[in-house]
Amino acid sequence: MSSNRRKNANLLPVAKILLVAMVLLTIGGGALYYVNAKNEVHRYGQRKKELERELLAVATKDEVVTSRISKLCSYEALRKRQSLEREAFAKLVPVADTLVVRLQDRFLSPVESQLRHVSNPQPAR
Amino acid sequence: MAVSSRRRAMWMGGIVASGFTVFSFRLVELQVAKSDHYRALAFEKHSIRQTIHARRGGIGDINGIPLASNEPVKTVVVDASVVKNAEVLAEALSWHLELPLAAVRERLNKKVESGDSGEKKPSRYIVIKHEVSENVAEALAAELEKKKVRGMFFEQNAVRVYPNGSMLSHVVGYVNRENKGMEGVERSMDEWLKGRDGFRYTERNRRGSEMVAFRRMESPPRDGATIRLTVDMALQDIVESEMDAAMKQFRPKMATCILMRPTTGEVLAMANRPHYDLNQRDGVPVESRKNRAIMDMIEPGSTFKIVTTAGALESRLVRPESGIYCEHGRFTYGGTILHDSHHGYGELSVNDIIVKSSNIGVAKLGIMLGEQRLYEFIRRFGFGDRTGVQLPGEIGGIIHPPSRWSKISITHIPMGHEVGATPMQVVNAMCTIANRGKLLTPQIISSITDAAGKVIASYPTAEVRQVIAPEVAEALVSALKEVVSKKGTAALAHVPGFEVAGKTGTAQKISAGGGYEHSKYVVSFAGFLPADKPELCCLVLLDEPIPGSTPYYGGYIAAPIFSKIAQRAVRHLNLPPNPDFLKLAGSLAKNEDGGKR
Repeated sequence: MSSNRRKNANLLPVAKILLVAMVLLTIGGGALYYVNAKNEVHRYGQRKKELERELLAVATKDEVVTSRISKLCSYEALRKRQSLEREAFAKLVPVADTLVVRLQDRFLSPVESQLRHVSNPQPAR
Repeated sequence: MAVSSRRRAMWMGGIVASGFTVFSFRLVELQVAKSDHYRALAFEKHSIRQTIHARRGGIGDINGIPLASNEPVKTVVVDASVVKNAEVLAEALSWHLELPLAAVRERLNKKVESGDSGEKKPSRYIVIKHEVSENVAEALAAELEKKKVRGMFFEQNAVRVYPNGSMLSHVVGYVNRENKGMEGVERSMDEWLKGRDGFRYTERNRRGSEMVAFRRMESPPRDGATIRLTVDMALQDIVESEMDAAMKQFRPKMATCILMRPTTGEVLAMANRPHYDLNQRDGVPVESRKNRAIMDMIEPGSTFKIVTTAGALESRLVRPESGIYCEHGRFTYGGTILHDSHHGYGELSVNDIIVKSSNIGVAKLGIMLGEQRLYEFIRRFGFGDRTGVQLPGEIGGIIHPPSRWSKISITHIPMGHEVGATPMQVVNAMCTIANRGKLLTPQIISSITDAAGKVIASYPTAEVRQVIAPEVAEALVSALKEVVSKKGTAALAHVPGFEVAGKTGTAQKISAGGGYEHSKYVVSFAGFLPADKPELCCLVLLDEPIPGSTPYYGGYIAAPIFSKIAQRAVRHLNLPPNPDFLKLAGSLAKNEDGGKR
């Protein structure tokens, strides 16, 4: 049969179409992924900012409390309290020198079984 | 396709292609040729440089007790352009910030001229109050949120607080509004304390909020270092309370006390009167802010006799037991008469010249030494130079060279007249004797630690020079021990259980019109203990005390203060008492009248 009489058929270039579709899908998917990733970056950025704010708030609170503790424990505060207590019933009595016991260094015997001192010599009163 | 339609298609294609070519050229021009220019413009428009402030380092004592720290505070600011209900906002601000309502209203109504049209618009930045505490700020924000009032925001700041108020005020110092050290350690260690601010380049969106994803170059801040002093606050408390008691009893014009560890040169306590509260500095006179221990020049008086005697002994002109004729209390030299206070002595040993504090005896030692040698010894003890303690504003005092001395200077300088010395120099000279002749640089900074707590600098003991031989210092210590005995001038400086060595000083003050005042004195006592193995050296100095019924001598005014301070200090330091000196102290206590000066 001659070629002129061959029936004309519209063949679909399936392979080409599929290739184009694949390329377009890849590009589209990539673009969507890119946009999503960008959004994620912004979301995490906001979260980071919030965490930074929270951290700052905690650090600030810590500083406030530390400052308050140091004020309440200061010698100045102690003095004021002492003077108040001197006027009130809870009076602080200074420890008399005769009541102070000073411990000396442990007596080390060269022989393990030897008896050791268990008390310090008492200062004259 | 007909020829005409093909031509039209070609024309159209050509026009479109030309259009694209033009656009492409423009794009290339914008993106490639002028990219740097436009990138810079965009960066300028959207990006901002955020400063990340460094925190100022703290100051603590040797045990880490905080002496200066930071307290977070807020500045209350209002953007009046977005305020809808100004009256509610004004009432809330007035109530929480304790401000008059009328004043707040006036501030909120403040209008500024718009740049282009000159039209008056509500201000976008009105500072309502500085240094608002966190608690108040929180309460204010909660109320405004509840009432849905917009337009107020806070700026985070910090103020420097000094938990111990007036204690150690001259040493710690303070900062100004810009957080710059102005006095004391705050000033001398400012470079370490202030740290270094960080920065960050970031971008803002249309509403002005930061876009964290577009943060660029970032340099983190370096917080200031923490300074640890050699001062022990427990000892400082002892010194301060005894100074307060002395101020009440003797009402001096000023007073100074320095407590040091002679073997290391560490300053354990330092107090001056008058003093001031570091948290309430407004209206405090300059005189009260002065650290007199290092900035005030005094004639030291008899405490200076240790220098002359040390010089004479070191030069081997005399021995401790050598006899010096003391002219029975009246010595004429260079046309002027020199007296010994109260008593006239015949012959005194060099040792007894110190014990009795004889002016004539020490003047004769000065004459024996000669002008040049005496001058050299004075300088060797550190007088005339700054001691080098790490505090700002220290002066070196005045020691004139022999070429400027008068005929009688050689008799006056040996007993501590005609010289200008700081209390720090006097106590450091006494430390030199206690330290068996070694002059050390006084230290007030123990170490510097970074924000992570790592020690980045420390200050070891710094020896300046060996001023006198250890044997000579030993001989002087023997004499100084006798000063604090019933035959010496400072019996009242005794400390039960400890052998004390020291020297009293009573100097007449220089009159404004020349000569000396007859009723104004500077009294002092400088001493150390235990005498044979010194752990503490202390100077007590009072300027113009009003002694009342007490004689105006250092042995009666300054020595008992020294004794009280030392008794409490040895207990704090847990120094073991020597039972031999408990007995001696008992006999001394009965002989308090035996003390002369």
